[in-house]
Amino acid sequence: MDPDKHQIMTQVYRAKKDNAAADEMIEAYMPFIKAETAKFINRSPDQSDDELSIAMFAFYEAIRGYSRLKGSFLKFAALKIKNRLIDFYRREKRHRIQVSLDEQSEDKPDLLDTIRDEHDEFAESEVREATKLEIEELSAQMQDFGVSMTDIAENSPKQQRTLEACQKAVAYARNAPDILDDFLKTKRVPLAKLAEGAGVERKTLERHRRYLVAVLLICTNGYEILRGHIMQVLKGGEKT
Amino acid sequence: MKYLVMECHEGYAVLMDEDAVFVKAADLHYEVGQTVTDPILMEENKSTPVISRRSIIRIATVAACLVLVSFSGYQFYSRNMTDSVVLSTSAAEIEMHIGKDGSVVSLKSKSDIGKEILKKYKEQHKKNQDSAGAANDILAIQIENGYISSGDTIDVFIDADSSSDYDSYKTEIEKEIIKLDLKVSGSENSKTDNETPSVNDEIKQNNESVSTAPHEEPKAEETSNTPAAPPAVGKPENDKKPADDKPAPPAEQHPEHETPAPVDPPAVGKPEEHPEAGKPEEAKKPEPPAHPEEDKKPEAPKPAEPDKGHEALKPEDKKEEAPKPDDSLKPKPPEPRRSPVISEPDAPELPEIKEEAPKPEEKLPEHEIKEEAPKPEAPHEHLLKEEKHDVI
Repeated sequence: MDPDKHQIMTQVYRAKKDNAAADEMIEAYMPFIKAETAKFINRSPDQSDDELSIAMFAFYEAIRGYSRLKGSFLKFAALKIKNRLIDFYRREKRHRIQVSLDEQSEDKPDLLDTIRDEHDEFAESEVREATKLEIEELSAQMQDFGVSMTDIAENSPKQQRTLEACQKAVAYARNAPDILDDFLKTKRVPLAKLAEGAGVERKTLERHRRYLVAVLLICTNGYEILRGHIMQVLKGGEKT
Repeated sequence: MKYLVMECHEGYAVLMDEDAVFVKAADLHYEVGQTVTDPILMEENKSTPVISRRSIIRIATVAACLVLVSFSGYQFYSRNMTDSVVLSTSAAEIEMHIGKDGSVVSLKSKSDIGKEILKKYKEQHKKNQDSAGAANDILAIQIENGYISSGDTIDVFIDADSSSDYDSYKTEIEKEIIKLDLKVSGSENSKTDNETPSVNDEIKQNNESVSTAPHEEPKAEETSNTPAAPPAVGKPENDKKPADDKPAPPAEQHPEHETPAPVDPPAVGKPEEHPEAGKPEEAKKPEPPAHPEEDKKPEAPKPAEPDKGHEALKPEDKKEEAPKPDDSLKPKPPEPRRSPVISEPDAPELPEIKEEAPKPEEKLPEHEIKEEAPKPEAPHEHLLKEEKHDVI
């Protein structure tokens, strides 16, 4: 086998398991990603172009979904980038009829100036900053449990039935402060109690233990904004 | 659905929706804590059942093996399938089942002699011989063991689907058997079913009715040590019914040739009744199983005894008339021995015979009757006359 190809394969298979390695690989192959994007948009992409962001995302998808049976990785990644950009353009067609608020013309004044702005930018920025702080705190606390945001994204329930089972368990824990206290102290998810209290299969909760860690942490004190975001879930436990 | 940006990476961002589900999406210049409404979510890796090259190769290999096995099995089956049957009727009736390619599929025999011969054949010879070679070898074994001798005639019944197969088998067997100085009389059985048992039954039926003569002939030849008539091999052109064709010549010859020779006395008085009398001699021969009809024939001599009583009185005259049929078929030696032995005990029982005597006396020539008739008739006539007188 070609040593270059062997090196790429090694990088890809390492990046599939390690998110930091995936980021490194995307950074290393940024020229390739830009080249593929340039082929599609017929110009050199700028850092602020959404097409480049889509291309980087497609490259990440290629890393995650690659296997040796699919041939050369770079060809596979190029195909993924191209397909993603095509999908992105199709999706953007729906918004072509709409006029951008930022669109400027010499004759007419800016639309943004004519429309009354109901948003309070300062308030929003404050809330965003507070949210960011909460998320950072949550991430830090999650690290103590050995869990990252990417892990949770990969461990989130995909089926509605599984999601409802997990939400029932979280709702039960929220009404039982002892369970949350034990969870914070022991840094272990009390699966047996949750399964027994919520009437859910323990096996189902075990499969989504990392996801439960994140949601149970949000349910504890200190994450008001995040709890507000998922309040609908915490209220009923079932999707309305 | 609103998504809260939880984490941003080089190529993607982690978002949390309002159902507390964490997802990955394209990072379109998002910031952590930002709320977005229409993200480009990451496609889940669809676990499509991709058939790998290895699995394709395995499946193809298994399929090829199956095809190979089934084809070879079919070939083996078709080779071992009986296409034609050749039955040679000598001392041992041996059926030779022949495949499509002309090779011998199996050899069978219901008689003990045939089984012994087949045992010896299997010990000496290889398998997959052709029909002619196998027939030749089997006959050679029979000759070695004395069941048949050089110059004998053998009936060969060929049961084939097509006339071409029949002809080819016939010619092959004729050629091979000629090497052994044997004479073959062949016959065809038109095959209706491929089932061998039914074919055998048909062949046996034909054999019983038709092939008795050829069996007897070789024995006569053995005793006489004279070569038999040219081989009656081959079938007539019109033979689809072997019983009519082959049997006809030998069956007709029996009454004409054999009856006069064995039954000397009846030839004088009642020539028509005596054809049966010749058969008891055949029953004494060592080949009874082949012809069940012959087993019944030994009954014939009993009715013939009374006639022999009369004939015994005139042995010399009968011997003079017998030689005429003997010219065509040479007389068998055991036959003359019987007539004198039987005639001696019959002689004293004259009074009983005299009641039936008038019939032969009428046919006999006058000069013969005049010489011997007065002696036995005298006491009877006296007795009858005395009785008549008493009654009167």
